[in-house]
This record gives sequence, structure tokens and C-alpha cells, in this order.
Amino acid sequence: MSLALDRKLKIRAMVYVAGEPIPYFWPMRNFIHHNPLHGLEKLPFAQAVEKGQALFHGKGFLPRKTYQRFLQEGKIDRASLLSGVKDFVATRNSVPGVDLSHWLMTLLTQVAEPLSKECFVAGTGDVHHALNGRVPEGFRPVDMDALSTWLHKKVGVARPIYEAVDILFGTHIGTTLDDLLIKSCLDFFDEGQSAWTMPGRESGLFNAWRELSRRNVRLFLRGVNISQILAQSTTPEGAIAYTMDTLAVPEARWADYFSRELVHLHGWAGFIRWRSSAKHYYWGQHYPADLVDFLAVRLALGLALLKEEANSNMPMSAPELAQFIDTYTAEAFLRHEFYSGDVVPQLATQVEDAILRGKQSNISRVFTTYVERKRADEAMLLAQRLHDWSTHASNTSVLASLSVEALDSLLATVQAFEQTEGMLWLRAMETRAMQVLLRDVDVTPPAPRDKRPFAQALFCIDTRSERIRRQLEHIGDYQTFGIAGFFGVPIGILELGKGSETHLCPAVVTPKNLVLEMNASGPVDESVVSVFEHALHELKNSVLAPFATVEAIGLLFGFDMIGKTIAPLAYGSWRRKLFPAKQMTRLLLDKLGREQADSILRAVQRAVIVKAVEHELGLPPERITDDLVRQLRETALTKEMPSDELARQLDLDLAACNAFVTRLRDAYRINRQFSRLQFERLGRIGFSSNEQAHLLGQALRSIGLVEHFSRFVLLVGHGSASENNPYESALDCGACGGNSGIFNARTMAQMANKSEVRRRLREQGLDIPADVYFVAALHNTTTDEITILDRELIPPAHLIYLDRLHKGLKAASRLCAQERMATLVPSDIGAPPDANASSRLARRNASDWSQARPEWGLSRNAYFVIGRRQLTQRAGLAGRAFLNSYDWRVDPKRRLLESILTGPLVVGQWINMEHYFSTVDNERYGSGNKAYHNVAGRFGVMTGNLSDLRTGLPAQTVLKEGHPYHEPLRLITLIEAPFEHARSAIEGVVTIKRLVQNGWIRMLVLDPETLAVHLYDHGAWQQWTCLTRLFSNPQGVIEA
Amino acid sequence: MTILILLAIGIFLPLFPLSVVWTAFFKYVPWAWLRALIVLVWPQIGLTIAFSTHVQLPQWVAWWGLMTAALYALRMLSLRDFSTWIAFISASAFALLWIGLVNANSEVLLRLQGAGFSASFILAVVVVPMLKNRLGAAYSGLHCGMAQRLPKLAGVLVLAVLAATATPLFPSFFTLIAVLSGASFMVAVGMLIVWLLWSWAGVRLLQGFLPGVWSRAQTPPDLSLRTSWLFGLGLVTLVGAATVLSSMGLTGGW
Repeated sequence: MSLALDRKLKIRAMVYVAGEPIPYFWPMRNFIHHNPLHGLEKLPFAQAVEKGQALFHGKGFLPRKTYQRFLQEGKIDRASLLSGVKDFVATRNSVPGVDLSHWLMTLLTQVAEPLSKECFVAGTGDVHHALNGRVPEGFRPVDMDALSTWLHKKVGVARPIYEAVDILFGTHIGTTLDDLLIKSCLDFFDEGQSAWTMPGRESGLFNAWRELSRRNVRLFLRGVNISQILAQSTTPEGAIAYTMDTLAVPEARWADYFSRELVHLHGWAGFIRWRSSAKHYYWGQHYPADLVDFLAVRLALGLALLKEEANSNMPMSAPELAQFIDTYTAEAFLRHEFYSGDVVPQLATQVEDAILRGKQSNISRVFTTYVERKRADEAMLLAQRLHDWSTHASNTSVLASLSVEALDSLLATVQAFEQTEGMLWLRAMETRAMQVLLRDVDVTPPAPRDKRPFAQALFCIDTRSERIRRQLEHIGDYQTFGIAGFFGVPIGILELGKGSETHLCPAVVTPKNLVLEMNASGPVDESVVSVFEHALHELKNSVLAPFATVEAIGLLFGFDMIGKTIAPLAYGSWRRKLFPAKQMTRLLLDKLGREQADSILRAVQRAVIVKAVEHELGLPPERITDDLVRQLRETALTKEMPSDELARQLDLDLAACNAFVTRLRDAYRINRQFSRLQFERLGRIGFSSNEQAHLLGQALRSIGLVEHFSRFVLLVGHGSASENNPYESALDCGACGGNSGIFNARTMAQMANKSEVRRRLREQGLDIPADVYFVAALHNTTTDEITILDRELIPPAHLIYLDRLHKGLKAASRLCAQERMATLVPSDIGAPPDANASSRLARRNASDWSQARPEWGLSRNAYFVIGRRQLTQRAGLAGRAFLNSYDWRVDPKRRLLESILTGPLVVGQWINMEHYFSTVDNERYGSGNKAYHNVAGRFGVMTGNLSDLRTGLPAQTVLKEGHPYHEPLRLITLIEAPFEHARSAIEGVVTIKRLVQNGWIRMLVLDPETLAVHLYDHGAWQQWTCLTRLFSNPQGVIEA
Repeated sequence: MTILILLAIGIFLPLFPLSVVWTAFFKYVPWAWLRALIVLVWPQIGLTIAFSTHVQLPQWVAWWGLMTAALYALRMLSLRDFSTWIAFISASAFALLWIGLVNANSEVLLRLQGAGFSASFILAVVVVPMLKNRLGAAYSGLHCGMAQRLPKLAGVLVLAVLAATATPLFPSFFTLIAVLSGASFMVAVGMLIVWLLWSWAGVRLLQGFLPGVWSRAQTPPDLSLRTSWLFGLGLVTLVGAATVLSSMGLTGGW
């Protein structure tokens, strides 16, 4: 079947639309925190949560019991909760004798489980009877039309056909389909984990899978006749059209149908969606795949499995399904009840017997019995719950006295209320969190200093920096600032020894400039251990070698295992000594001139040629002269034949020499075309002096550091260290694209220490004194250690102060570890460990391969504060706040604020929402228990050996001892700036404006001139409270 | 007359299709204590008839017994109702006694073997009302996640199923080994297949109760500590008796 172009395009467009709600899933090597409902951010939060529930079957709020626990712990504002209840009651009709506000508040705070459950069979009259102690009325005929409509809604319209068949006939087509599709995806998307790869991947997912499936004996043996379906079309669009036509699904429903199909494996779909849009992604470029391919494979397999299960009674298309429901409504209902697990337990055997026998008279009889029993059960259960509720509300008699109409109104109110209660809890919890933040902020202007601080340190805005900054400031004369961890310098880095570029900036930014890491310590021989490791890797990946390898050297693994398990810290330290120390490197970050670029290109090509001659011809180094290399290079670049002299120098005859030169051109890419390409790429390397001055100036101005520079200005990037942890990258710097911030810190420090850059900044009015030295450092968030980088570059005049700096950093690290470890150890351990024990425990966590929770990461994040450090300096924010330093006085045009809103705040919101949803529904939006995870294809994890790619965060990151450790709140953002200034900036950034208006971010503006706090709520700005400045007590307090 | 006697024995040592009497009768007995009693007595009645009438049994009856055992074991794979499951596994096990009967084993030995099977099923019989009282039905697949919500009951259920499926140390295991040791090679192979099917069916049954996510709003109370201890005591008694009797050679085993 050949499709016309317009039809193909139409199908592509429908798949594109269907895939929009599915969030991107980035490879876990560079974990990007993201909002699982990112595709629904155009909707208000409450609506998006509801739609997410329908699409992904994920819950949007915590269970009521958990909120009740939070309420008892004082984490929820009762007054706000009551106010929400009253607002709701105002929209409902009153029920005689029932104080709705009191009753609903009781329901929220004292009744553990939701009251309303869908009662399909029982009516209000039945419940009324039950409440009055009477059994429900006798037999009442069932409205079969209503039942049929209900079934169409439940089974027919919303689900793919095979899913409807599964739920009506107890087949497992959906599970089998997922398994087969996952296996195909694992084969196709593998990024080097498998030794044997899928053939034909270059032709794309659908084509490669199609070729393989047509010869798949296993599918054939189990009766799945996929070849017949694949013979109908050679294109993915054709396969989709054929399947949908065969299933006779009306075209108007296709987009919805596709959505339902795609969200079945939304992890894989999200990965494919991201991959197809990532133009720079190596694997995506070489092995292309998109959602159309994925869907075509899914639909074709689904149809084949459906045909495999076919029997005379089973509907095979949408019209047949509709006919089955209309004709055999009673049977369809019983089937639905039984296979969906909603069957009345006491009648399960009878229902199963009736279904299996298939005799309509028998089914009719069982149906009647079943419906009556279900009706009675539903009514009794609801009546019991209502009675319990009335007991809590201290008014047990009123329910029995209600008329049927009044009871109906009450039940409708409860149902509507319970649908919206999640938002009430959330808002009340946020209110308390806002109160806590504003209670602790300090609006007192900072006292003028008579001398500059000993050191200033720029930390990432990451919540984990808050603790160490506070401790550092407490230890000594340190001033700290918060700035996005890439320090405003978006770079691509080509690390030493790595073959591909890594982007070190927020995922929303694509870096234009490339920085190269260059070796500065001369050539180093590969260590014996490295060679051994490499050999072992090769052996493991071959077909037969593993059998012999295990016998021969398996014991070594045993030693390794014992060492890692018994004494991870000591063993890890000893093991590291086996490997050579990391080489000293420098960063090439200056823009290259044409001559420089040419020279570098020549140097690289010469180095490649030397290697090629050594490897291919085995010539000793003394015979590989500069002249020989020059001749080879020139011959390879021109299309000339090599000279006799060149052949003689290489000890080759002319033909062999020509073959070698050809190999240089083809295999080693010493040719004109590739040289031109490399030359263009070299143009991306580095920044001009102007650019460097601009980036540095912008970074310093954005945090308000424009004067009173200290002798040391530390640029502290952050990263993490853990063993056996696929989520390691999730603990690294989000602002650096899920990488360590080490290179950004080094880049910025290198730029800032250049006299040319400082000269240009001075011309712009930003004077950095000559004795100021910018030091790059790395904060290891797992151990809390801060390591100073490029120490050998520190000027001698500064070395005398280095010891003090070291001591200060170490003390802060230990105190920070102590504060943090208290939250990581079990709650019932008694006294938390002291600084010494904490420091050791933190280091152990970093090297313990059995540690599922090396650190909490960004768990418990709640606030994003954009303002001066003084605002939160005295508040113990317990590592819950992103702190972005900002001084509105140096930003009259609001550009800096807009820049903060565009980058850091968006990243913060992604992080916040990822934590939110991973907590409220860890199985669906999170990735479940980490202990069962297996790495899939080197880019993701699965639960067990076969599952959807697990997106979100594992239970170990957000839950502690079965309860939420992370308190799920929408990001509470506080901007310290005049109200109009902040409002205009928010209005000016469309993304943020939409997020604020749709309630994805709770936005507060603290006006430093009036001290009024403005909150965006219910679609408008309103003054929420007003702080007062108390000079006697340097704490801001909330005015009543 | 022989035919009639054979038919009578075939009802009490279930042979297909006469075995439907046993399965139907067992399912419709409402009380657990009565079920336990019936499980104990039923095969003994069959053995009493067989030994009191001294009827000559043809060799093919042993094969028929094995086929019956295999048929019920196979059918158990798709069963979800625990009561029916017990009826079927007991039918399958009791049918295996025909092998010893045809091989003319001693009466005491066969009675002990019958009692060995019966005793192992009593635990399962006792668990059924525990499940019904808490979950509404002893029906697999309706209430997943029991292991987390009702750990004691889940533990008791697992032990009951292990006992029923002839797991080592339980009486049914020694009985099965005893029957196996007296069987011909081909019959022994058949019996091992039946044993495998029991284990498979047991795992499938437990899958429908223990793992997964609890979907009901309410969680019923778990077993009391006293009941759990009582069950444990019963279990130890059972295992102890089986081990002692087996070591004395009374079941004909090791």
C-alpha cells in the first residue's frame, strides 16, 4: 500500500500533536530534571494535573492521610485550609441541618480515606435506605441503555482496541505488546551496552525492525503473523494507516488514539521524542528514529497480537467492539467487572463460571444477582462511611433525617469537594511555607563595611549550596553569592581524552562556543591497571571469552567485591592509588586567529600522521622526521601521487606508499574536505576578549558584585561522587546540563584573571583591583568537601593566605556534613553523628557501592530567592532554597532580572516539578525503588529486566522510611525588587509569565522600598502582607 | 460387582471423571472444620473399601490415576478460587495413591500416605476462611499487594501453599517420595511432572495475592499474634510428625 504525500504528512502531524503531552527524556548520563507534565504547562496547574491523571494515570496530590500528618506537624496552615473550604462552600447549595464548612473541614482533617467513590449501581435512594438501617429496595431493573453508555465510555471510546479486549476477555495483549516493543527498542537504541547490535539500524527504527521482524522465527512460532501486516506497507506512515483502517477507528479519533498508545511507554516515547529533536546527538544522527516509527511498530505489533488472540466472540475492530457492548451488554459488564478487578469478591467464582460458559441465559441470571449484590454493597459501604463522617462531625442523627434530595445534594457536594481537595491542601501547605520564609527574611539594610571580606565565594544557586554558604559565612569573614552554576558562560567542552563535545549550560540553552581541555603535563604512559581494565572489558564483550575469563580471573572480582563491601572507604582510597593522578590541564578559551587556527589544524594533522606511521608502518620515532610528516601531509591533502623519495623514506614501494597515503586520506581523514570542516569547527573555539569581558561583567553585575572585591574570589562549581549509581548525574549541576560545574568554574576564573579582560571591564566602569585573584573550586555535594582547582596558577603573593582559606573551607565542609548527615541517618538512631563522624560517613557514602542514597540531592527544595544575600543570611533554610544573588539597584533596565527568570528560574521550576510529581506518585511519575533498577542501553534505567524507561526520581531520593521526605510544593519564588520593576520583568519573559499565571510557580515580590509583599494569586497581583524593619532586632517580622 | 467396587473406590480415591464428585462435594461444604475432616477421611474411605473387598486391580488403573493427577494439576494452573484449588490439588494427590494400591503396598503404609497428603492440605483449608473474612473471597488476583498490607496472613498463605505442593519437610513431600520410590520409571517421570505442575500452580496462585499494589481503600486487620503462633505450632507439629514417621520408615520413604 502506497500512501499519498498529503496523507503521510497528515499522519505525521497527528503523531506530532499526540506526542506533545509527553515530556522529553534526556539520557541519564546528563540527567536533566524536568516537569513530567511539561507538555501541559499551557494549562492551569489543577487542570494539567487532572489531564495528567487521565493520560498517565498518575496522581497529582498526596494521599489525604499524608496531608493530615503534615497538618499535625505544623507544615500546613489550618486557617488557609478553612478559608479554602469556605470558598468552596460558597459555591454550593446548602444542605438542611448540615454545617457544610464544619463537615467538610472534618472530612479533610479527621477522615483518613476519601468518602466518595464512583457508585454506578447504587442510587441515592439505596444509600438513604441503608442510612436508615433498612436494606435497599428489592429488585430494580437495570437501565441497560445507561449501562451500555457507561461501558462505551469506560471501554469503548477511550482505549485502544486491544486494551478493551484485555479488559473484557482477560487477555494480556497490552503486556505482551509492551514487552515485545521494549525488546525492539533495547535492540535499536542500544548505545554500546550490547556486544552484538541490531542490523540495519542506519535505515531507521521502523525499517530496521521491519526487516528483522519479517525473519523473526520466535514471533512466527508463537503465532504472531507480523509479515502479513508488514507486507502491506514499507513506510511507517503506511503501517499506521493500514492498522488504523483495519481496526476501523474513525480518523477523527486518531490523534487521541495515538496519544493513548504513546503514553503506554511514555519513558521510551519521551526519549525518542527528545532524541529526534537533538540535532547534535551522535546516536540520533547515526541511527535515526522518531515517534512515527515508534508508533508504527507499536500499532503493527498490536494488530498482530490481537489477531493471534482472535476467537469467534472477540471484537476485532472499533465497530465490532461497539456492537459487542450494545448486543451483549450484561456479559460485557460482567466481563469488565471481573477482569478489571472490581468484581464483588463473594461472587467472583459465579461470575467467572458464567463468563467461561458463555451461555446468555446463565449470564442473564448471574447479572441480575450480581447487580443486586453490588447495589447493596455500594449502598452499605457508602452509608457506613457517611455514618463515620457524621460521628467525626459530632452530628450522627442528621444524616438519617435528610430527605433523599438533600442526601443527593450532600453526596454531590462531597464528590465535587474531594475532586478539588488536593489543591486546598497544596495551597494551605504553600501558605505555611511562605509564612516561614517571610518570618525569617531580614529586610534590614546591610551595615557598611570598613574593610573588604577575607574571601568572596560564588556558589551555584543549587539548594545544596545554601548550607555550605551559611556555614562558611558563620566560620569567618566570608561573603558568598549565588549564581547559576554555569556562571553565565554557556560552553561546549571537549575534554581531554574524550571524543565528543559536552554542553555545560542549562538544557534550554545551546552553547555557541567551544572550550578545549589541553594536556599541560606532557605525555603519560597508560598505567598497567588501565591496560588491564581495557583488556578485561574487551574479554567481557566477546562471545566465548567470558567463560574462560571467569575461570581464570574470577577470583580477582571476588577481592574487589569484598573490598568494596567491607571497607569501601579504605579500599576505594587504595584502589585510586593504582591509577595515575589526573593530568594537569589548561583550557583553550581564547578565540583563534586565522593563522592560529591554521597552525592548530596543522599540528593536529601532524600528530595524527605520526600516530598512523607508528601504528601502520611501525617506524621508530627517530625516523619519523618533520620533513617526512610534512611531505605525507601535503601529499594527502593534494591529490598527487607520492614521490619515490617519500616511498623510500617509508621503506615502501610506490604502490604500497600510495595505498598508505590513500588510507591517510580515507581512514585518518587527512583530506581537504575534512580540513575545511575542521577549520570551520575551530572557529567555534574560545571567546574573544570582548565576549569574555561581557560575560564576566554580566555575571558579576547580575549578583551585585561590582565593588569591594576580596583578595580571593572563589568560583565554586559543584558535582557529586557516588558509586554504582545511574542517577549520579542527577546529583550534579543542573545549570551545567547535569554535569559537574568544574569546567565552567575554571573557564570563568581563567577569563577573570586576564588583564586584558579586566582592562575592558574597567573601561565599562567595573574596576577589579589588580590584587584580586579568581580561584576555581569544586564543591563535592556528597562529601561536602571543597577542592581548590588549578592551584599551581595562584600568584605567589596570595599563597600566604591560602592556608587560612583552606582551613575555613574545611571547617565549613565538616559543619555542613554534620548538618546534612543528621537527615540521612535513620530517624531512630538517637543522637545525630558529630562533625568527625559525619565527615567520615559522607565520604563513605560517596564510595559505598551499596549506598542507594549517597545524598538527598535537591530533595525538599521549596524556595527560589532572587535578591541580596542579606535577605536570607540569618534564616536557616535547611538546604531548601535556590539562592540567586541579585541587586535591583544595578539593573535599571531589568535585563539581568529577565535573564535570571529565563534561565535559572526555569531550571529551578523543572527541578521543583520533577521532585513534586516524583513524590506525589513515585510509581507513575517517579522511577520507583532504585534497588530494582537495571541500566538500559547506557542511557536509562528500567525496573527489572524489562520495563518502560523509568523517568523521574527514585523513591530513595524523595521518600524516607516510606513517607515523603520531600515536601511537594510548587516553587515559591521571592523577588526582592520594587514591585513594578519585578512585575515588568515577569511580564517580559513569556515563559515565566505563563508559569506564574497558570500557577506552576508561586510568585512573591518583596518591595524593598515599601516592604510590601505581593503575591500573584487567583489570576491577579495582591498585597499579601507587609514586613516591618526592626532595627533593634535584625529580623524582619510579619505584620499581622 | 468388581466394577461397582472400582467405581466406589474411584469416587473416594478420585479417578476422572468420578473425581467430580469429590471436587463438587468439597467446594460446597461451607465450614472449614468440616472440610478439614472430609479431607482427612475421604481417601481413608477409599482405602477401606479397597482393602476390605480385596478387589483385584488392573495395572492400567495406576496409569489412569496418574492421568487424573496430571489433568487436575494442569487445570490448577488457571484456577483463581483457592477453595477449588485445594479441591483440585487434593484430587490430584489422592489419585496418586492408586499407584501404591496397584503395586499392593501394605495397608498401613497406604493409609499413612493418604493421611500424609490430607494433613498437608488441612493448613490450606484453614487459611481459606481467614482470607474470606478479610478479603471477601479467597480468590487470587482480586487483592494484590497482600505481602505488604497483611504480612502475617501472607506468610501463613505461603506456608499453606508450600505444604500443599509437597515442599520438603512437609508430610506431602515424604508421601510423594514414598509413592515415587515404589513406582516404575515411566510412572515416576509422570509423577515428577505432576509435582512440577503443582509448584507452578502454587506460584501462580500466590502471584495473585502477594505482590503488586494494594488497590482497596481499606486494609482489613492482619492475623492476630495468637493465631499466627497457633498456626506456627500446627506447622511445627506437622513437620515434626512427618520427619519422625518418615525416619521410622512408616511412610515407606527415607
